[in-house]
Amino acid sequence: MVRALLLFVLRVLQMVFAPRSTARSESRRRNTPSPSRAPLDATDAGGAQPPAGRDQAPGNARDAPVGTTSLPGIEASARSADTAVAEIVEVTRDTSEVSTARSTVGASTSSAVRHETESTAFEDLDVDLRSLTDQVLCETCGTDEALASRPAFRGRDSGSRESDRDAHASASLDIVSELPEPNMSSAIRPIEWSDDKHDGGEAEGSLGGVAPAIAPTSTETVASPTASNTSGQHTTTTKDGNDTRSVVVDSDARIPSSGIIGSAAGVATDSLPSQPEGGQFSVKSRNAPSDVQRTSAQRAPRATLDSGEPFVGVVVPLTNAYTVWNTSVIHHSLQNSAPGEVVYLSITPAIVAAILNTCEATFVGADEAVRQFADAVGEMYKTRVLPNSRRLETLRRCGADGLPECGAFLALSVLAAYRMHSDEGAAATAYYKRLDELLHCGIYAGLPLGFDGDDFRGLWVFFEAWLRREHGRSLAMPGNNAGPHRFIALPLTHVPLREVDIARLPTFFQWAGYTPGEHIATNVLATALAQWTRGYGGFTVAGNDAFADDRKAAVLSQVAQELTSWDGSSTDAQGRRTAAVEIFLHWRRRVPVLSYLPRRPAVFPATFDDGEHVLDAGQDGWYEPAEIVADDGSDLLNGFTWEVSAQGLTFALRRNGSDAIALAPSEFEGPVSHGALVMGAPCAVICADSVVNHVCVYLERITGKRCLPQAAPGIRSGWKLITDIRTIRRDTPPDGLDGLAVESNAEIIANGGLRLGSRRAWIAGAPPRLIATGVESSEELRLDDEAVMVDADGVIQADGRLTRPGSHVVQVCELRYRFEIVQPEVPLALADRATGVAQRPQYAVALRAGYWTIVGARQDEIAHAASGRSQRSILTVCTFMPVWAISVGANGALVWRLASPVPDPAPVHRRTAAPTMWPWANAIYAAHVRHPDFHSEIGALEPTPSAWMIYAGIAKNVKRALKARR
Amino acid sequence: MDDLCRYRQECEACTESPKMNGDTILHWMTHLAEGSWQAFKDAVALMSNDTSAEATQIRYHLSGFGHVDFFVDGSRRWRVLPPMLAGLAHAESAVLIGGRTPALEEALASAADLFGCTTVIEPVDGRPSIIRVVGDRFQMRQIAGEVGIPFSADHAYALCSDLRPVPRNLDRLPLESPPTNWSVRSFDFKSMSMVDGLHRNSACEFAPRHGLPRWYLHTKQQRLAILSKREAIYAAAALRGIPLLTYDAGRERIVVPKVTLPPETMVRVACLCSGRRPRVERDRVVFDDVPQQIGSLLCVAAGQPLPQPVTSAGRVTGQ
Repeated sequence: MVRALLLFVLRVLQMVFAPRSTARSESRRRNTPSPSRAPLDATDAGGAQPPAGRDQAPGNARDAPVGTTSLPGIEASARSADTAVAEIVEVTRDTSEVSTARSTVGASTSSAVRHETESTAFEDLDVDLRSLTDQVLCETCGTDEALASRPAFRGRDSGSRESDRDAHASASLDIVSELPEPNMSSAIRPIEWSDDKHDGGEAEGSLGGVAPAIAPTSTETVASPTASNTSGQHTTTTKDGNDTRSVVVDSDARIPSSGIIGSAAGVATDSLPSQPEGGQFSVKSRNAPSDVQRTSAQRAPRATLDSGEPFVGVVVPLTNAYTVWNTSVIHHSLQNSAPGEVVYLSITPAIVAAILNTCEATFVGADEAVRQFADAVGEMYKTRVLPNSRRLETLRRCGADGLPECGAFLALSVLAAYRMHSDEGAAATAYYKRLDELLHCGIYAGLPLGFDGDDFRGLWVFFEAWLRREHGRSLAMPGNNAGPHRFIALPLTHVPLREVDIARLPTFFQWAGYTPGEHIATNVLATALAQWTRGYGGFTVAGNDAFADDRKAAVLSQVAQELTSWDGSSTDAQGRRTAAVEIFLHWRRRVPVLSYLPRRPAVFPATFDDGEHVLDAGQDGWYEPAEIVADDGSDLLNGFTWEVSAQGLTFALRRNGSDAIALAPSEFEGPVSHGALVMGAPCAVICADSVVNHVCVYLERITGKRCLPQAAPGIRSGWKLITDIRTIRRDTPPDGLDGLAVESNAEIIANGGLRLGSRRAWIAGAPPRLIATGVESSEELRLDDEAVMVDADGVIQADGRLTRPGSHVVQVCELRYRFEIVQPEVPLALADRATGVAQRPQYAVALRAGYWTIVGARQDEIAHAASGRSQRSILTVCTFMPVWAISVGANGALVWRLASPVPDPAPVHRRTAAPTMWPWANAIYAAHVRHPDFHSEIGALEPTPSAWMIYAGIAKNVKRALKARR
Repeated sequence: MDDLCRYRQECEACTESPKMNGDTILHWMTHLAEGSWQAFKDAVALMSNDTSAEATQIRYHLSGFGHVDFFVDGSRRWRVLPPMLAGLAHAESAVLIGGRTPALEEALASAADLFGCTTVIEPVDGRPSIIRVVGDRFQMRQIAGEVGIPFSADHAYALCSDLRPVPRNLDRLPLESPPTNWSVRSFDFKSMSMVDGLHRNSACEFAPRHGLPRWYLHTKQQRLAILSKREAIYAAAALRGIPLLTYDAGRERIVVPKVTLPPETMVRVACLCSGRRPRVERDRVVFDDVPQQIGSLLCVAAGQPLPQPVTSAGRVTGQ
């Protein structure tokens, strides 16, 4: 036992003093080239990482003054032997999983580098293999210097190992711990280039923005404590073969949390002008491996990752924007699934736009929504994930709201999978490139900066466990046969249909007669989709395959979610963006009125003007209704297209011809055209005279009562309107009247009330009327978990429950309709505008036609106004308070008093009279000597106001004083 | 505060009944800050179970009392104005204008109590109530500061600096050719109604088959200058020398024909002189308590001649 213990200690010591090469390869396997981070992560011992400022956390090594920062190094060496054993065991176990990989890699460092170079060419799919390969190397070399900097080693009192490590580590770690991160663009500048030859830069800490291909082993950077100067700067010398160069590092500088690689690239480019082509700048400490490149030991044990246990440690708070997205994404996913079901985190641009528009009551397009989403997640990634050595693990926890903090990040990873397609920049299989395009964090060695596959998987496992625990649902996860794509398979599981297939869905929706936001039962959707894929081309081969195999459920989920987020637009064969024109029935003074109600997807212009039809944006997603006029009967029968071009695009509003149109309850005050009649809901039908008899017979069959057609309002002849249709049974519609089929989808329609934009939110005091359609009498309706009744019109009897502000949920069968009642608030922007309104130092003056001089109380306050040729009365604005308006003409002078009471003029002495006062004094004096008539619109006015005499006196004094100076 | 509580109960009662509640509409608009005319019309229709006629009436009220700007920059959108305590021209009182919420109303009432002023809430038949604070101007300023909103001492006069005379730059307006295949009607000043056809020097409305009409001023050059409806009518009146807006200096009131209300900014100035709704007398609309200074400004802005000044010498002099 004792011998075994001694052997183990020897083994650990061997690892501690192992050659650097292994550490380099170890750190290279990660993708953040940060040379100076290694000792800085002393705080990571507790799993903690301070925010971007990095000067907040007490005890943070970075807070220590210059020259006294050896503590991180000491801490780094203070490892418990038990932990070391655990780490080694973990590495060994990981290695055993890839025995084939081990055999192909070889044992030498150089071959490992070659292997990695080849691996990067594959960009993404073999990342798992590469990461495991590096673990093999560490073990194969018998060295594990990288372990020394692993968080798992830190913060534990290892007793004897501490002293051993001190001597080794302190000399270099002292100063390296003060080195800033490489993105400190303003803090790093070159001092010296000793040679212009640079045959490849050092892989680690590459600031040149070029992914290192082959890292020469001779390159090293010596960070010497003696190089520290009094200004808080430190000279770091880089040796690369015969090349030597140094940089000055400002230890006082603080590092912005974002743009680590991007900024670093800027440093190399901007501050090293003499850097030869292909040369790369590197900074690397001698004994401190760059633990910005996380090692497997820094990661939580796989058992932890697989068990879905939360991450424990201090983390940077999430940004507000990310929190909002995270909440919205998770709620969206939950809303589209029922307890017991599999949850698909289907995220496409349309869904992102719908989430944003619902959450923020905005009306933006998919591209803009994706940009905002990606920005929010990318910002979080830079502030939360990258600065922390535990990287993605820091998202494996629930926030204060009880929701997993990784939701939005996982959704973004799904969006990246959705965007996988061949283009000029990358192959269709290039997943990580797509992810980086969204995260904007930079790619290193084929992976987004700071990305780790196992951690990524840990997030999915954690999210899955949370769903099971909190909501009794399971998350769609890939099978065990994902092979080398096992990490990418995680998001791919949620997007069986890619962009090219999703782009075809609007065609399907229009073909099926669905309306945006509609909820279709899964079996109905499956039937329609199967019919469409068979008869109308449908998806691509890959999409059809997904629909045909065991991914069918995922496809249906994705299609259903896409339908709820569909804005009603599609692109036709001519490349035009098209949207539908609906028919809207409402009542004006009890008289029915039919109108066109064109949809307005976000990409459509705010004003649609084709010369004959001028439509302005109305409610979000719609143009204003345009009343149907007498000549429109043939248009309804034959269909029409209104087309307009704007910004190089062609937009078309169209309606297919039909001789019978069903109108169903809507969010508006009246029914809107719909693909079918809705079971149990009050509907209406307009139909051509030619089919009215067939329609009446059919409607009498399905409603059980007599139909009374009346002349369609607005349309001179040829059409009939039938209202008050409430279907009680289904029947096959006559030929040509397919649009009058009866659908029985359970649906909750929020009608009326004062809605807050496109959100499912209404103002307190004006709640919506909730109409349940397609609900069987046996099915129970619940409002906020209380059973509620429904009246004959399908209106839910809320009994005053909706007066309470807050979130409410209506539930029937699998359908859950969540909405909010909100207390009104004054928006911040409005309050801000108020402060600007108050400052309005302008004074309006109305005067008769003529030429006027307006004077104020101060001798430099003078303005002129003239009516010009028009001889109209004058309205002018002064920036000072006007007191008198003076007009001097051939008929004498006229003075209008403009202020009451008249303020005393500013006193002027002979010495203080200035030439700038001359016009003021001259205008008053010239009027005064002509014995002017006075007029006032404000208050009573004596024949010669005493106030005027004061002004005239001062004017006289000013003139005298100025004349005297001449 | 009792007044406020009673008012709140009335509001809640209004909410439950189908009767229109303008305050709820204003709260909703405040929360949204801006929106489309169609959304406003729908909201009014939903709250009142009727019609665009009521929407128009509420629009006049909201615009006249400085709560909301409609048809901003020629668009068909509205935008809520910032909340403000607007001092009136005559009395020692102010009205709460701009956007408001129940919380803001309560805060104002509390602040008024605190500084010894009185809050009076005047319900206006389905339209947003007029919330008036009575006290001296120094107290008003303190109240506004307490609530966190600005105070404008003589707000009607301050608004006059935004007035732009209707006929100004008529010659510089971009001229257009008439749209083809659109129906056209012109405003006839004799009958004070719309008549078919395009008349010279008149305000005319071109309407497409579907959608929104456009208003133009038909100029002397037989060309069309696009303007808003009210501006076009007043510009045509100015071109023809027809007085539409008159100011009665003796009774300090502005009188306009009912069918030709002046542009919205001018109506707002006139309303915020007294803080009261205009009266309708037969076919005319009367704005009371308008000081002569503001009356003159409104006359000039409407393209009308100034009221004849009576000089200190009892005669009209000058140019």
